[in-house]
Parts: sequence; structure tokens; C-alpha cells
Amino acid sequence: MYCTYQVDGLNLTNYINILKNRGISLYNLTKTSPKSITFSIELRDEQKFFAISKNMCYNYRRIKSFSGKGSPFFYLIKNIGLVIGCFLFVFLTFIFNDLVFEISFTGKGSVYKNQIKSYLKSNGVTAFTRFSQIDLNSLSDGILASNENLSFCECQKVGNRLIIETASKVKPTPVLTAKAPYLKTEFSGELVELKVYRGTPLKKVGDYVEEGEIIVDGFVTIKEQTVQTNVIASAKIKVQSEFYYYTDLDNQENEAESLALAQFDREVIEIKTEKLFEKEKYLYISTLYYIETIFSG
Amino acid sequence: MSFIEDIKKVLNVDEKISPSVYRAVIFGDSGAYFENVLGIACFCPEKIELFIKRGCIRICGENLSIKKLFGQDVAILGKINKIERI
Repeated sequence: MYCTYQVDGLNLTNYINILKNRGISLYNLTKTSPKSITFSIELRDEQKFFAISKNMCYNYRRIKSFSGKGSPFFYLIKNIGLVIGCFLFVFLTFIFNDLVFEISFTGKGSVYKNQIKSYLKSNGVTAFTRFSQIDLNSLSDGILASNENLSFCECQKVGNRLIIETASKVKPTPVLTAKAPYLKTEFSGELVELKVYRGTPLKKVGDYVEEGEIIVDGFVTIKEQTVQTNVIASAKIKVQSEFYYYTDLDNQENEAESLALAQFDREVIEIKTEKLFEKEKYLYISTLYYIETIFSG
Repeated sequence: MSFIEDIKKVLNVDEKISPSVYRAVIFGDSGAYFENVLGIACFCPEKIELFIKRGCIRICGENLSIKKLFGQDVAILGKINKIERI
């Protein structure tokens, strides 16, 4: 273990001889300028070096603290705070690696995340749950069994996140009989798309249709003669659903929208929120728009 | 009669030949090791002068530095051009 010093002053050879005669070993002695030298001394001679140099007219300063084979260990001993910090970091990393910080949903089955979240909550899997307490395989099986609309589920640990990958069941292909006398809507909303392969449309795109209203009828006029035929048509209707949120607080539009989206399990294409003030309370009406497809044939 | 004188008499050596008061080991032109050095008389990158028992040794060269100075031993590094006793 060595320390390197720089000494400035006059008659430096005399100073070197004094150190040598007092039994201090000098290493790597170089003259950096006419009035300064640098050298290394052993760490055990440091106190002696200070005692000798104290009453002499030389300026000395340490330019390198520790060198030699044992310097890394000595550095660690001198900087015990660093060692404790490193150990603390490793320890905390080990501890926090076992905690769930976030639950993410991927795949097409993520539209059922509200149901999956409620299942996870009922099984005690929430944020800051320990991964060691969760059996990911049985959790995947449980989620799959709890939801009929899912065909696949896999839970994975990625860092501190619990990734739940799901796939929804493919709906069975409806059997077309080609015996529908008309296309009737089951929803109220704006007609956004209408495809008629056979039949006569009674509404056009942009019209508002009521529930139970006939959109495409089965009569066809051919050469001034009207005949009844089977309807083959499909339509997309923009349907809206409203959610109400009462609160005492003002400017809570974002919270009202978030709550409405959390309650709704369909793909929303548009959302609007209105604020009303009633009986010293604020009423937020969030209107969610989504697409419903109907067909006949 | 001293021990050295006894050896000189036994070996029948010339009076002019006397045991050296210092010992030097020279490593090519890259360094040298000296024993029985009493002190340093002069020290600079081009020249180092060492006190010995009777006189001085002058080491001339380039980029000279003292690798180790301990007791009466001195190790010198650098390109050594000339060593002379003065």
C-alpha cells in the first residue's frame, strides 16, 4: 500500500537524504520541476513522514491516496458508506424484485380486463403482491376458467410487471338461412354503414334508427311489379351508452370518463362528457359511443 | 591488520587493488542498482549523483528516476549513457 506525494521547495536532495536517513523508503522518485518532486511512500511510513516534514520548509500534498495490491480493499474500508450502499442496493433490489408493481393486459382478450381484474382481486392478486405468493400457472388456469369468453390465458413475470396475455374466443360462425324477410335493428343509434345485397333499404347512412325499426325490407320492384324476397344485408350502427357520476368536486371530467371506461367492456370509438350542476352537486354525464353490427341473410 | 588486508595478503593481490566501496549492477541501458550508497548529491532527469564512502558516482542519461531508495540501496530507471566516479 502506497501513497504518492508531491513536495515543493528548495534543496530537495537534502530533503530526500533526510527521509532516507530516517528510514523512510521512497519509491518512484521523479523530479517534475526544478522545485518539486513526486514520490511514493509506504502507508505505514505516512505518520513518520508527516512528523519529519512538519517542521521543515517544504510544501507537501498528497496527489494519489492509495496504490498497490491492497488498495481496493483499503479503499472499501475507508469508504464503508459506499459498501453499505452497495449492499443495501443489492438487498433492496432482491426484495423489490419480488413485488408486483403493475398488472398489464395484452392480447385480444384484454377487452375483458375488468372481469379479469375482479377475479385477480378476489384471489388477492393486486399491486404490491409478492410474486412468490402467486402460482402463475394456476392463476392462468383460474382466469381461463372464470371467463367463458377467453380461449387462452398466460401470466408472465416481466421485471416487476405481471403480464396477462389473453385471447378471446372466436364466436361461432352464424348459419345463414337466406330466409330473412327484413333486416330489423335491435339498437337505437346512427346508421354509419349499410350494405344491401338483396332487398330495399328504407334508411340511408347518417339516419337515426330506433330499436325495432326495419332498415331493409324484402320487397323488390321489378318491371312495375313488386315481389317479396329474402333480405341479404348488413349494417353498422353507432350506439351510445351513458354513465352518470355525482360528486361535490368541480373539474372531474377526466375522472368521470375513466370511471365510465372502467365500467364499459366494449371498444369505445368516442367519448363525451357533460357537466351539470344540480342541488349543490355536480353531475357528469359521460356518453360512450361504440359500433354494433347487425346482419340478416 | 584488517580482514580485508588479510584477504589481500592471502590472495597476494596488488596494493592498488582494493575492495570496492560500492556495488553497481547495470541492466543494459535501462537501469542500474547501486548498493552502499550514503546519500544523494544531485538529482535531476539528466543526471543523478550518489554519495559513496569515498567520493561520488555520477549517472548521466535521459529520463532518469529513482525507482527505489531504501537504506543504502538505490534503483535507478531511465536510459543510462554514462556512469563515472568522481
